[in-house]
Order: sequence, then C-alpha cells, then structure tokens
Amino acid sequence: MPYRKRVPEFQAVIMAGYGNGLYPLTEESNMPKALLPIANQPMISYPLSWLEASGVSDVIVVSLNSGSKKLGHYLDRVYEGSGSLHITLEVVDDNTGTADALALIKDKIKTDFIVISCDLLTELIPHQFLDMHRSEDPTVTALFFEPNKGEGGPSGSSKIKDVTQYVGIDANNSQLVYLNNSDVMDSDEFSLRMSLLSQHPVLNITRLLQDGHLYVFKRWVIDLISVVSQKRNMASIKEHVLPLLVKSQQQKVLADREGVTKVMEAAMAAHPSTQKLALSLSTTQSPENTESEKGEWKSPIKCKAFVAAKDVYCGRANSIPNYFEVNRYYTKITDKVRNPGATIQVQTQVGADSLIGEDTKIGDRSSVKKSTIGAHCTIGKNVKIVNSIVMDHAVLEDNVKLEGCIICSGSKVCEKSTLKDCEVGGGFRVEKDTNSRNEQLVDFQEQ
Amino acid sequence: MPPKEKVESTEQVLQAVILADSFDERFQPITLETARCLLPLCNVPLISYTFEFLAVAGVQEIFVFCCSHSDKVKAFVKQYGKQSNMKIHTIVSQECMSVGDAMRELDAKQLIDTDFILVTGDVVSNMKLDRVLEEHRARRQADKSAIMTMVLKKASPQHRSRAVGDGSLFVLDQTSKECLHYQPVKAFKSTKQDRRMTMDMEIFKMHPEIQIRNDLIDCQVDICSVEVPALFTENFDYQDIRSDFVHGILTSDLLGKTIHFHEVHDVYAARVRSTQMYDAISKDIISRWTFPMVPDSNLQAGDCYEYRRGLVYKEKSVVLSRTCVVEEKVVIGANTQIAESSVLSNCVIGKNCVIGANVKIDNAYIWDNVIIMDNCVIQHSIIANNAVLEEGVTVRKGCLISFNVTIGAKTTVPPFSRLTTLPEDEDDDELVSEPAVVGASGKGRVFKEAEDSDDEDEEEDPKNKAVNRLAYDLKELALEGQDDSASEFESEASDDEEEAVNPAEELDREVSATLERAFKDGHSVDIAALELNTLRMASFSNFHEMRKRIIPGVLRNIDVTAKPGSGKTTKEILARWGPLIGRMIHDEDDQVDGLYILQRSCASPVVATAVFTPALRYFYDNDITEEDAILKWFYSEKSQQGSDMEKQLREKTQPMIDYLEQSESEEESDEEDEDSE
Repeated sequence: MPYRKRVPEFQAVIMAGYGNGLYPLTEESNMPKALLPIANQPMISYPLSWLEASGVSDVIVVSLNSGSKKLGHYLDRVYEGSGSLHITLEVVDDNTGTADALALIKDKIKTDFIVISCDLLTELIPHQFLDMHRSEDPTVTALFFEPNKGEGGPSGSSKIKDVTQYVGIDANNSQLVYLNNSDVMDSDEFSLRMSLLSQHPVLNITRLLQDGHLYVFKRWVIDLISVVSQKRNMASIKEHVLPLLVKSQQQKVLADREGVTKVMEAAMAAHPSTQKLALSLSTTQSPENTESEKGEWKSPIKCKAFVAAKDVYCGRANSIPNYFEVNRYYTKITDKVRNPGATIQVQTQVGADSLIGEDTKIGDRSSVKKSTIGAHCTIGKNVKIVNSIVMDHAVLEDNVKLEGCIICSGSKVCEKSTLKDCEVGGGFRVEKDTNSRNEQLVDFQEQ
Repeated sequence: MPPKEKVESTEQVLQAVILADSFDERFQPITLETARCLLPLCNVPLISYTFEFLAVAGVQEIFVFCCSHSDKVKAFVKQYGKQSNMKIHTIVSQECMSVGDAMRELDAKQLIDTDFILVTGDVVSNMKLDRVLEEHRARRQADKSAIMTMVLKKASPQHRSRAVGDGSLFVLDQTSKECLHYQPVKAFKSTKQDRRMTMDMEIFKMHPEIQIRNDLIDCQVDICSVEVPALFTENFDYQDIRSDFVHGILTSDLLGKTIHFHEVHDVYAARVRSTQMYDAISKDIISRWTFPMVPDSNLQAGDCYEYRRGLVYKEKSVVLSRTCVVEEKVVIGANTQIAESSVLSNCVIGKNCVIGANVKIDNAYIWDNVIIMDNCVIQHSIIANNAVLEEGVTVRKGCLISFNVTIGAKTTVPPFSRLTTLPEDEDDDELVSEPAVVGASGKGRVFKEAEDSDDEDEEEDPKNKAVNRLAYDLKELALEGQDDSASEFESEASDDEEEAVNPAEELDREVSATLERAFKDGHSVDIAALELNTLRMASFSNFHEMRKRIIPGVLRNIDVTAKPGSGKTTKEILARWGPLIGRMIHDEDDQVDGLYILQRSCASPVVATAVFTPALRYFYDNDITEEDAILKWFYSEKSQQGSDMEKQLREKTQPMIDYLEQSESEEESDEEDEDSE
C-alpha cells in the first residue's frame, strides 16, 4: 500500500541516544542502545509499536552518529515498506542533546509532535495519554510513572547515581507546576512560592514519580528551542526545555526574558487555535478559572502531567538494573513461543519464565532460569544460567555458571567460568576458569 | 482486643471544651463591654451555634472556658444549661491571655480524662463529628502518638468564609492522613518568608508523596487527646494552637507525636474570627448554607421566626409600614418597627428596634434596641445595642458603633470608624464626647486601639490587620500600599527577578571577578584560561560571550601613562595577558568577532583609545588574528558602522591594512609565479 500523503495529527520523534547508563552494553562492539534486545526483540520496536497503536504514522528516528548504521539497517530491514509506519532516520553528531537534536530537525516537523525515548517500554494505552493532550490543549503533556520496585533482581555491576526528582502536580487539573532535582535543591529546606500555592491550592508533590520521556509538544515549542538555544545551552528536553516551560507558567519575567512569550505569540498569530474559537462559540463551556483576579498575569503556557496508573506497566531501560527489570517483565509476559526451534537436550531444564531464541543449542544437564537467551547461541553441558541475559551468537562453554549477568552478542565464555553480576562486552572472550563478581569485562582496544 | 475495653470506650462520656475567648482585639470596642461569644449573629448569641453543633455531635459534657466578661458568659450558660441535655460547666480564669494559657489551666485542673473536642466559642458548623471521632479513636488504638485530629473543610482559596487574613497552609499525607507541616498565610506578603512556603526536606524521607493545601478552611475544631493540655504545660511558651502548638509538634524530633487531619466536604464550617468573617457568616446563615442552623429553626428559646420569600426572616411581632421595602436577605427581630418608605436589604435587625421613615440600610448588622430616626443611611456596618442614630445620619461602610452610642442629627460617620461610649481612661468616669465625629448632640468617642507596645517581636503589617475588618476591599488596600511596593503583584515580580538572576549579568560579574583574581594573584595564563572555561561551561555560555567580557577586561588594566617597567603599559599587559585572549579565539570567525569586540571596547570609556592600534598589532604578531581576518573585519560593513569613535579607530588602522594588502598581493604574485613555472 503506498504511503498516502495526508495531514497527520501528530508527528513522532524517537530519541535513540547512546545510553550512558548501559555501558558496556552499548559499546561499538555490541550494538546501539536502540537495538539491545528486550525479550529478544530490539528495544526500539517497542516504542515503534506503541506509536503504531496510537495511529501515528510519520516517525522520525533521531540517532547519534555512532551506531546509526546498525540502526538504519535494522529499520530498513524490518519497517521498510510496512504499511502503517513511515520512518525517517536522522543522524546527528554524537553528544547532541535531545533538545539540540529537535532544533536540528526543526524544518521536518510540521505539526504538534510526540517525543519518545527508545528506551521507554509501556503498556499504557496510547489514546489515554494522547486524549489528555487533545482535550486540554496544553503546551506540553508529559508522562510520569512510578517505577516498579522490581523484585530485587540482579543489579549488575554498576551503581546508579541517586538523583531524586521532585514533581509537583496540581491535583485538580493535573497541571505540572513544579519540577526539581534533589541534586540542585537545598538539602535542608523545601521551599515554594506562595503565589504558586494560591494558583494551585491543591498541589501534590512527590518524589516517587519518574519522567517517562514521553512528551507531546505544541509545534511552536521547537521554535522556542531554537531561539533559546542561540542564547544558551538547551541541550536536553528533560533538563532544560521542560523546566523552562514549567517555570514560564508562573513567572512572567522569566517567560518574557527567555522569549517564550514572543515565540508563542508568533505561533499563535500564524496558526490561530480553533479551540479558542470553539470555546467562544460554545454555550455550555464556562471560561476556565473565573475566580482568578483581574490584572493577574495569566500564562498562556500550560504543562500537563499524565501520571500512569500503578497497574499499567511503564519502564525505562536506561540503566543496567532497569534493563534487567524491563527485560524480566517482558520475558514474563511475552506471548511468543518460549523456545522456537532451539535444540535443547532432554536432561536440560528451561524455566517457564525464560525465553530462548531461534537456533540456539543447549547441551546436556544445563539449566536456564529467569533468563533470556538470544538466537544462535551455543551453550555447552552442565551450564547454569540464572537471572541473566545472553544476547545473540554468544557461546557458553561447558560448566559455565552465570548469575545476574549480561553476555553481549558474539562473546564467548570459556569452560568452568563462574560469573556473578557481571557484564561481558560484545565479542569479548572470558578465559577458562575465570571467577568474577561485579565486574565489567570489556575489550579496551577502542579506548 | 479484650471486649471489656471496647465496652468501656463506647460508654465514655464525650467531652468538649469551648474556648469562649478569642484572645484578640478584632471586635473592639464592642468586646470591651461584652464577651465575644455572646455577640449576636443573626440575632442569636454566637456560642449558641457552638452548643448546637456540639449537641448534634453527641457531646454530653461541655466545659466553657472564659476569661473576660466571665460573669456574663456564666449567666448565659446557666440559662442555656437549663434547657439543654448537656452538662455545661464554666471555668473562669481571669489571667488567661492565650489559648496556651487556657490549655495549661485545663491541665492543672485535671477536669478532662478522655479524648475531647476542642472548639472555640465562635464556630458555626453543621457537620457531624461521628466519623472523625471514629477515625481518631481507631488511630489512637493503633498508635498512641497520634495525639490530635484537626477537622478541615475544603473550599476554594477565595471562598468568602475563608478569612483572608487568617489563611493557613497545610502539608498533608493523604495516605496516612497525617499533617506534616503548617504555615499561616498572610493577605499581604511583605516579607520574603511570607511569600514562600518553607518546610523541612526531612519530611520527604518518611512521606514520599505529600499534598500541599491552600484551600482548606481551618475552623479550629480539633479532637484532642489528654496529652494535648499536658504538652502545653510542658512547653510553657506555646500560645496559639496552630502556629505554636501544631507547628511545634510537627517540627520537634523529640516529642515524636503526630497530628492527623480529617477533611470534610459538603458541610458548613466557619469561625467568626473577625468582623469581616462575621459579615460573611451572617450571609451564609441567611442564605441557608448552614442548614439546619438557620433563623427559622429558632435556636434560641422564645424566638419565632418565619421564613419568607427572598430569604427574608421575620418575627410575628414585627411592624412593617405599608410602604417600606424589605428586599432580599433580611432578618428582623421581635417587636421591631419600620416606618414608611424605608428600604432594607442584606441586613440583620435585632429586637425592639425603631427604624424611622425613609431610612436606607444595606449590608448592615443592627442589634437590639437600636433607634434609627428618619432619613438615615447605613452601609456595611455593625451597630450594637441601644445605639441611637438621630435624624439624617449617614454611616459609611466598615463602622463599628458600640453600645449606647448616640450620633447627633445630620452627622456623617466616616468609613471604618469605631465608636464607643467608654471613657478613654479606665480611671475616668466621665465620657468626653467628640462632637466632630458624633455630632453636637451625640454621645461617644472614637476608639483608639491600644498601642501594641508588648513584646511582639514581629511587626505586623498594618494592612494585614485591616484586611480582617468589615467591608474591607483588597483592591483599595492594594492601591493604598502602592508606594511601599508591598502590593502583592509588584513584589511578586521582584521576587522573580531575585530568584532568576539575569544570566548575562551573572556572567559579567563572575568573569570580572575571575580576571581580577588572576591579575591580583598573578595566575598563569593556563590557570586563568582553565577557570574561565569552567565558568563558560557552567553558565552554558559560548566563546563569543566570553570574548565580549575578557577583551575589555584585560585592556582595562592598561594604563597608557604608565612608565615601562611598571607592568601596566600596553606592551607589558598584552605580553602577559594577550595569550589569554588567544585562548578564547579559535577559527577565523572568532578572530573577526574578536576584532569587533576590540574595536567596540576601545571606543567605550573603559579602555583607552590609544590601546587600539598596539593591541591590533599584537594580535597580528602573535597570530591571535590572522591577516585574512583583519582584512575581513576592515572591509565588513559592521566595522564601518557604529559610533564616530569606532569609525575613527578603524581609520587609524589604514596603514596597517595597506601593509597587509601589499604583502598579500606579493604572496599572491609569488604563487602565480610558482604556478607559471
């Protein structure tokens, strides 16, 4: 079916970043973050199918230079000619922030747009989220979710930095009015402006929510990003753009100084909102916030937060523990055949919570529990794999024991090795009788 | 749980404590002559509403705690007690100056032995307390440290029965129903603390999700355990139950007590805290928000109001003349007479009043036995018992006219006047009337508030007091206060500025500080460059911004008159710090940009103009700027525009340009030569 030209409601941008939190999995020798397998499926396929389900067809995948070839190859192979998704790959320099990347593809975005990170995996029903944007017409709608505590699964070797995000959401109209990170906040005192509280008399502040990196922006925000980035660094959506918009809701001085008001007015003049016209003609709609006093500045900017219900799964595979957690969850719920075409010896046990890829061979008396094994792997005799992820083409020789490990594609673990909470880089060879804990085993040639 | 205990707890007598005094002076001068809780609200003494509220809640025993005018309160309670099923006791303590004192007294007398309801004598509410009590008891069973449950009512921040000057902010945990932080909110936020809500970060450790509420009416109905009075005794400096006690308990790590809340909807709850609230609550009662506590339910023995169309309540014995107009929302007490052509709207008129012909009363509260003669106009005021307004008197808005005041014929009482007949000095027996205010035949004087000379360290913004007065107008007050910038919106703007300092200015300051340090301490160029680069990254700035600040910063140090060897000549400064400028310049665009900056800064007063050519020379000699860039700069339009000074500077470089062009053409010809070979 040929791709029909029509005016889409939303365009979507998928941010395929480097994945700093996932080192060493994302090294050149393995694969870019977007292609890391989750339940033996490349990560990016999840946001893509989410977008497909939401009815968005025009998708721009923004990839960093490194890894863009592999990603492009994958996208061509799988999505080329697929009826419902029209994917364009945009390659930007390494070290480009998410907001910078948006500024670079400014001309390609014609409508309100969705920005989603390639590491967001969610079972949120797309229209629930998008309907909030459709009905309230805010400047931005952002997804927040409460991360699953997990089951205390393996955390790998890395330690994650502990930055808590404090999110303030108006309980009456789910407006996002406060965002701050614990690392820049006063550690003794929590302080808020009184005027904020008179505008938002019921304000929930929580430190449990995480930014889902799924946003719907108005088209003009991209103009704003490019205007502001001329003045100062606007690298990241989460760190710079969203806080600026949130603050501009209350602080007129800031909004004027940063040019937010100007850009917004220009955009409004160019595309007058039909919503406003509709409201003025409506006989049932009463003007919002009639009680706000006259003369008070009413910001035209509105940020909304969509908080995912607790029973709706959301996860971000942006660090090794999170990657484990997301993978564990999707391995558990996947409805794919558990071991398609794998050769498994009779005396080998594969737990029902595990997933084995195609053409993988597993030798005698081995056991696989709570693990995901990729395709074309060769696993020897008497191998024990618990709580681990083994990617495609890996070789595990006899008597190897893995617990809480990630074995990247093409690597080889030689016989009698025992690894616990380790990450083995792509193409790495773990020598015989290695006994490691909490280590990252990587080739250092590239550094 | 042993069943025996359960039986016991249900059989316990439910006790309540009413604080009859409010410990403030907002109703003065009226409260100089009678107790606050006996003021009539829609012709019924305030405390009757509280009694009624407690009776509905199932309270069996009430302690009325009174200080000023205790004899009057006692007499009233005695009277009331006769017809009530509740046991009502009065406790008199003349020395009490605050809620804290009252609670300490209560603890000393050991009258209370179970959880009790603590209310003030001015609460008007129709809520039921059974749910709250249940919750409170369940919590106490589970956790002994939950000492108090506050009952809070949800409303919008601008709700009229939410006192403007007495707002309060609560930080709550909705899952555990715990109150985590309390802060009073003032109407005019003149100090920085007032404009911010501040709480301890520690709270987040235990309570990851909190809710900040600025929409609750706190009518100070608390379910207290017996520990509460004891805690007041322990902490002898606690005065107010909210700003001292609640705040103290919540911020104290040592006590380990918790305070909970219960949120109510769809009921009425308010407190007559001020004259402004008196006005608001009266209107709520007339409009039947407080049902069943409305005038026609006749709370007081002997009353017999009937409810008529247009929210008019009238006793049978009222005499209305044929032509008088009783508009909406009016209450008229027994035996009152209203003469021809008078117009009443939105007002309450007491018993035995005589209102003459052609009188206009709007928004006013007229108590018992008041005589208003012909042609008077009364707006938005309170007139107490036995007052007399002679013919043609006009009372402007916001007045409080106390007992027995007489206002002479044809006098106009200015807005917000407070009149009394009590002599100014307690020792004087004789009242000295002020004819300027009350007229020639009048009786009364202007009441002056006692100067707050006591040890109140915090200076109260007078406007915050004014806001609680009857008929206040926030806008008017804001206009008055324009000169001292305390108006909320203005100061709000300045607050924004404070918080987000202009990044450009901040960078200015930081760069000049860094340069100064470098010059003074004689840093090496490497260190200075490192510092400046860090600064650039920290402030998300770029090299252009840095050049704009560093070039003039370096050149400023040049003293053209200095002798060689002093370290201040053009040459020496450039030799020492020129490389620093070089660090900020990379490609050709940077070089051209650097030259513009050089040109502009030499034309401005901070740098001597004589520095320009040597500096340019230095830039060229040290390859900071290459000849292409210099030529590009010279021929660009931008360099030829600008002030006269800038143009002059450009012209001065003509010889150098000539030289450069010459050498360039030579080079070119060399190349050509080579090509031709």
